[in-house]
Parts: sequence; C-alpha cells; structure tokens
Amino acid sequence: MLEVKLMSKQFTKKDIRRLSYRWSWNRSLAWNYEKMMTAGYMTTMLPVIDKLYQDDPEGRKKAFETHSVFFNCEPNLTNIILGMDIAIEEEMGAEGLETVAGIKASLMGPFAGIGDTLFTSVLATIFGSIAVTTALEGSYFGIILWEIWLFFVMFGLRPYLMQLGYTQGIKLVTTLSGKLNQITQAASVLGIMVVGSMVASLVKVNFGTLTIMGTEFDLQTKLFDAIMPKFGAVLIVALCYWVLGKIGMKSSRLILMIMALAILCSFLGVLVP
Amino acid sequence: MTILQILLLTLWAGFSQVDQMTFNLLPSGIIPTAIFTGLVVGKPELGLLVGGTLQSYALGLGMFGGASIPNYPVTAIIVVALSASAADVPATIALIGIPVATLTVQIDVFGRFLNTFFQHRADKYAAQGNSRQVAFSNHLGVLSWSLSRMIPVFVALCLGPTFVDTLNAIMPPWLSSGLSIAAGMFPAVGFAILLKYLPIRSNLHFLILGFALTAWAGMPTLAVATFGAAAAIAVYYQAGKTGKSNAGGEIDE
Repeated sequence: MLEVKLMSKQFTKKDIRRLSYRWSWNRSLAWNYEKMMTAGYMTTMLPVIDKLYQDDPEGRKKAFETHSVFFNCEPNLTNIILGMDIAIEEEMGAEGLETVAGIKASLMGPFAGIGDTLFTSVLATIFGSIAVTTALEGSYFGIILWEIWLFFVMFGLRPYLMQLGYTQGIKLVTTLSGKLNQITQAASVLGIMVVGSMVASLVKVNFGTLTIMGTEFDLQTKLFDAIMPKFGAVLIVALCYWVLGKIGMKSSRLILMIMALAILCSFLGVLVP
Repeated sequence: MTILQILLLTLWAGFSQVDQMTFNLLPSGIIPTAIFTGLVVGKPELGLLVGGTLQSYALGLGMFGGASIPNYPVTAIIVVALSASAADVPATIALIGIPVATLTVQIDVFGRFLNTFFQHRADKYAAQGNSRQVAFSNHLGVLSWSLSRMIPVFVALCLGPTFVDTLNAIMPPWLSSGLSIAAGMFPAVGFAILLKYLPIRSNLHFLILGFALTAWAGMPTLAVATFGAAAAIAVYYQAGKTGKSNAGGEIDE
C-alpha cells in the first residue's frame, strides 16, 4: 500500500501550485444560483482529468459526471479538498470517484463554516477595521498592511493547503479539524473584541433636542453622554442583530429599513447628524 | 470629467470585480478602488476618505446570505468622481453614496443570474467530455462579472455631474440630514451580521471589553486588537487543552 502510494505521486509541487492558482482564478467565474462553484471546480480539475484518464474513456466520463455535481465552499479551504481529491483519483482511478464525491459533499459544509468564520469574518474584520480607522485619519497604513497580508500570507497559504491535502490525503481530516477548530475559536475572540471596539468608534448615533413644555432638553449631552456615551450605537447594533434573526430577513432589506428609520428620526428631530 | 477618465474608471470597475471573484489582489476592492479613482480625478486623499467610509459600511456585509449586498467598489468610483468638486465631503458621501449603494444591490444579482447560462453550457460540454469548452464556458463568466459593473459606472459617470447638481438643489434639508444619520448608522448593519456569525454567546465578555475600551477609555481599534491578540493566544492554548476531550467541537450559530 505504502509503496503504491509513493510510486503513484504524479503531480510535483510545482504542478500542485499551478493547480492552486488555477483554482483561485476559476473558482467563481461562473458562480450562479443553481450550481454555485461547480463549473469552477470542474475547470480546475480539467488538467488532472486529462492526465489521469488518458487511456480510460469510461473513467473520464465518470470523472466529468462526478464533478458536475453541486459544489460550493470557502475558496481558501477548498484547496485542501482539491488536494485530497487529486490524491484519491490518482491512487484509485475511476474507482475512487465515489469516495471523492463523498468527500466533496461531506467537507464543503464544515469547511465553508470554518473558512467563512476565519477568513471572511475574523481576518477581514481585523484588517478591515485597521484599514478603515487609519484611512479616515488620512493614512495609507491600514490598507497597505492588508495588502501585504494578502500578497505574502494568503498567496503562499493557498498552494500550501492544496499540497497538504495532496500529501496527507483523507487522514488529514481528523488531524486538521481539531487544529482548525482551535484556531477558529481563538481568532473569534480577537474578532469579537475588534467588533466591540468598532461599535463604539464607527457607529454614530446622535440624539437631538427635545422640547418638553417649553423647556429644551438636549438628550445627547444632558442624558446619554453622562450615562453611556455610545448608547445610541449599542441600541442600533442590538436592533439590527435582533431584526436579522427574523425569518426571511436580508441585509439589503435591513439597509433600506435603516435608511427609512434615519429619515423618519431626522424628520421628527429625535436624531441629528 | 474627460472621456479618458471615464474609460479608465470603467475599466477599473470591471477589473476590480473580476479580482474579487478570483485572486483577491485588492483587499475587498473598496479602499483601493477609491484611491485609484482619487488618483484619476487628482484627489487621492479624497479617495482615501471615501474608501474608508464605504469600507466601514461593508465590514461584515459579505457574510449574510452570500449575495445581494450593495456593491461598494462601484459606489466608491461614483462617489469619489462626483464629489471631487464638492465642498462638504462627508455630507456628499451620504447624499450620493447611500442612494447609489442601494441601487447597486441589483447588479450583483443580475451578474450571478447571467452565469446560469454559462453553467448550463459547461454542463452540456462536460457530458461530452470536452475539456476546452468546459473551461471556455467558465471563462464566459468574466463577461457577466465585469460588464455588470462597467455599464453602471460608465452611465453614472456620463450622466452623474448634472444629476448630482439637480439632487443637491431639490433635496429638502430633513432628507439630506436623514441620509447623513443613516450614514452614521450603516456600519451597525455589518457589525450585527458579523456578530451573527461569531460565537458571541460564549464570548460576550470579550464584546463588552472591546466596546468599553473604546467607548470609555477612547482606545483606538488597533490597540484593542493588540489586547484581543493576547486574549486569542490564551484561548488558543486553552482550547488545545480542553479540545482533546471533545475534539471537533462546534462553532456557535
């Protein structure tokens, strides 16, 4: 078994790196509501299919069928799935395609969950928040930092993940899930603290002046600044959070609701810019 | 605006969108696009300011439902280009940016919808085992991604200046101040979405801590992030110890 495995490695590190970039380029070009990343995944696998099933037309046909099935996942972590897929198809040929279909179907959900938390929400929030705060002060520091992260870390990470999936194969799933979970938990803490800070610094809600029985009462300076300076920000984030939990709620609808609320409050004088 | 400026910005709109769907060379596309537009109109510092403001609306917005969110890079081009001669920049961002952002929600849906045809084309050739045509079908998606952004930018930049002047003239004060208030609230939408995706139930104390450090102590976000990094390292080792017993634990809703 081990011998077969060592002999059968047909894809060099360079091949894997090229396949990883091929995935990055193709992944979402034809993203659509029906099959999402399916065409991107298949297009990435084309050189692999052409190579492995040269003398096996039936296997080739089956490979195309296997990769025509729905696929959608977080793009960075998909590199691991692709690496495993290539290793299995290489080792077992067309007989491995059922395993491949199983792996794709069973891993895309959990990997999307971990990857979205880690890359889309936590990392983008941390770098995004630094870029926003520095940009508003007129500095390029934050956006350059983010750019450096993408160029020097993410560009190296993607081929590395595919190589990891390729060399380790299915056994990687067990070792990796614990580690990824640990990283996600830790990164979430950092993300949550940054979000807390940004609620205070970036959400701006100023209460206006109320006139009660001829006396003017400045809600913001007389009341909220004394108790809790960013009360309005907390209130509006909590409101958005609550509304988002409602069934059928979309972010675009929430944005329209916020606009309507702001215009109404402006009209009534409860809030001021 | 000169025709050369309009063409440069139109091309950038297509490039930036395709980049977001592929290699991700430009972080989120918003601030770099705004800076580029600023350079084209000769006001890079305006680009930075608009980019920062729009990026603050967009933090977290990519998460919810995966689609149909305002297209902030397109918004950035239009706002920077059209507010280049404005006196009160923050008010102009609210005045142009928020309506434009709202209008751009649909272009993303449109682009993704067009791709369905290319998917069907790819499926047809996959059944025949035709690799070249499968790859070509996938690449046709470049058209829907880029054109869905380039056309609105081109039209807006051609018609925009007169439109903005008219808008400024007819806008009642309560409406324009309402849009400014909305601009202040917009980041809240993204943060609420982020909180939906992060495990806050078990980490509420960290949320309170991050908020309090900035709300009362006035600490900048970068400083809070440094404290957060220290907390994260502690949590990482803690999770490593307890994680052994319940390997593969779960992520909160």
